[in-house]
Amino acid sequence: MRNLPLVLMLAACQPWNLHPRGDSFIDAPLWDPMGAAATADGLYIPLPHTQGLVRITAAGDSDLVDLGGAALAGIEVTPDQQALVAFLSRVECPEDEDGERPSECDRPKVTQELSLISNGAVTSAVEVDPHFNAVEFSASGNQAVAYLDVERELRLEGVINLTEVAVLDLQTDEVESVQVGFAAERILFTEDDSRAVVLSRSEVAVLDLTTSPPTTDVVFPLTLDPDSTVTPVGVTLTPDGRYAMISVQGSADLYVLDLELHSVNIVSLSANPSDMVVDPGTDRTVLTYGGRARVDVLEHEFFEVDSFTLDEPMNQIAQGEGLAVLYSTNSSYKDVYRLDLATQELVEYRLENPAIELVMAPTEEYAIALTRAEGGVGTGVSGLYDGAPGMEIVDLRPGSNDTYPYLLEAAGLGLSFSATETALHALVLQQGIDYVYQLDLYTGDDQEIALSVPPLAIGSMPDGSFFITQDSAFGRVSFLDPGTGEIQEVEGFALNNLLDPTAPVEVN
Amino acid sequence: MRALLLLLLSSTAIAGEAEVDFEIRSTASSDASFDRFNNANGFGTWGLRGAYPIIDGLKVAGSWSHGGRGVRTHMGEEAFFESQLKVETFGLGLKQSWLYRDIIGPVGTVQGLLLWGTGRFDEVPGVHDNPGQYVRRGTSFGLSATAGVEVRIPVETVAPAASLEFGYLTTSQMKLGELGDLRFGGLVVRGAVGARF
Repeated sequence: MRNLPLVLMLAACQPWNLHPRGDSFIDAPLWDPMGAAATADGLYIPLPHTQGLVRITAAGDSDLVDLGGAALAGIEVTPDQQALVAFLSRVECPEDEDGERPSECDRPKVTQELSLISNGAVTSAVEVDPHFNAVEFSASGNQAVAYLDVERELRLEGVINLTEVAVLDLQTDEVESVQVGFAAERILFTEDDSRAVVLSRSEVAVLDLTTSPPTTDVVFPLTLDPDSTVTPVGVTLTPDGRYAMISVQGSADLYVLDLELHSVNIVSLSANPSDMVVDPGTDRTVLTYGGRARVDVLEHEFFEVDSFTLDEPMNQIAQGEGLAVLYSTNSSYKDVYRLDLATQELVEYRLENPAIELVMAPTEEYAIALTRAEGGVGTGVSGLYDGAPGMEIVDLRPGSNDTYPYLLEAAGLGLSFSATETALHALVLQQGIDYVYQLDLYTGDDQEIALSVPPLAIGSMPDGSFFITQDSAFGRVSFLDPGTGEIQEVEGFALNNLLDPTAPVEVN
Repeated sequence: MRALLLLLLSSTAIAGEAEVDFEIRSTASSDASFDRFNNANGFGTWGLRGAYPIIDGLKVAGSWSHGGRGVRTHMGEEAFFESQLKVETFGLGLKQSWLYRDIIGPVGTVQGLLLWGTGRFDEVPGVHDNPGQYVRRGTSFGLSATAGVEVRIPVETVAPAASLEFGYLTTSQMKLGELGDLRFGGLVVRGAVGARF
């Protein structure tokens, strides 16, 4: 009894208990395995909890990018994959009369920078309005337009002008706000970077990027009735940059905007197009329809349409050079078509199961369709295949209409290609399966590549290797050399700065 | 009763006696970096402290203490990972006591500290050898100063004693690899029981 106080003191301290004694909560994961961005100098991965960015390389290194105390809000890879543009957010108290920034204030000021990052460091930065959360680059990567994409995570602070975008000259780090229509959502650039076409609700604005500052060249209204709203769905530019073709929601009309003469021509289509692509080589636009079994090819001189009848409606187009592969993600259809735009030859393929996704190999000799299980009750090979997810190789080489079906162990989640002069490798990711499947499409050599932790996403690096992000709280990425099958694992990079997350400014 | 007390008071031990204490200590750790290891602002340790007389009433004091805390971190409803911090603290300094009749009196201790920390992170705690386990180690130096009261039962040869001290501790940043830094600092409460001989 005399020792009771001592026993109680020791019990309160629990000196023997070194296991977790409490619970802690975080509101964001340590890393974003689905948000990895591949560039020539490494794989950049956002760290949402610490609002940081890490670069990892196939050599096994991982470096935290110094963001200068700013919080990472988003990343985009430049078209040439040589650099990264990061949205960096700063929350700071305004300077007081002594020129100091206190750590606590009533109304902190939110600013945002678009920073160019290469070789693991910020090389330049321009300030843009904090609500912009998306950026589109011109083909050269020299120009970009930042805008508010309401489909993405919103960062709304204060009063926001919903009719402007920011035009960035990435060569000079100059940024200018330009008025466009309400709620800009799609932006295209002409090949020569001289114009940007900005789609917004019921309007299309054309920006002249050759002037300094950039100006709005012309605004095309898509309707003259202020009570009706026209929502653009698809937009393409002709290769010479003269015409913009715009499909709108729920309409069979295709708006052809002449960007030089500032006129609008409306081409009547047979239905509301579900997808359209422009082929620069043949100077034609291919249009497909989700509800109509036909494909239209539109030439760009007189905007006349050549129509081809299909057996089934195709709602998607995979584009190659002088080649369009039509497929449907509708579970009722299994056809795939190869349309040669130079010869206008249409070749039909038949998949065993409906496609979820079709990806064309970079060499355009093959495409691979990931297919869904149909849940059929048939017997034999057909029944087996109907009941299972699969992938099917579509031979796109001239003279062939072959497909090669493979059964998958689980639903296909991702597909990536790597091409060299002598090999064409495909890597397939399956849901919940702890290996990835690699197939050389030239030789048929395949292997299941075992991973220490189940994969979550795959992609290819500019050097031809694959990256595989894996299910790990602290970060795990494998780099796979498809030629040798060698794997380099980089792990634990999400622990970077875990104890020192970007400190927010305290608001009184 | 009074005779017994007088007898006890008369049988005091020598003033320059050595001592050994079992101690428990709580150190403030309000640094936000501790949030990944500790959901409270105190870090408890236990250990031993010995002191040896060098001049009357002044002793050189050496100590070792061990502490560990950990939390299970959740994201939403799901347990996400577990983390744990163990710290071994070695101290060397001086202790001065002024015991009234070798029974009770104030004490003060100043120690330089060496802290050796080990942070462990485990994303699948139930699996002993899972690949998602990481250990990062770091060291730091510090200084603690405490003052309090000590009570000693004056018996021959080995005298039981107890003490309670309050004070302040500060340390340099302990860098746990790429994880970042953490720093102990703030009020210290120390309780101890031991022997004087």
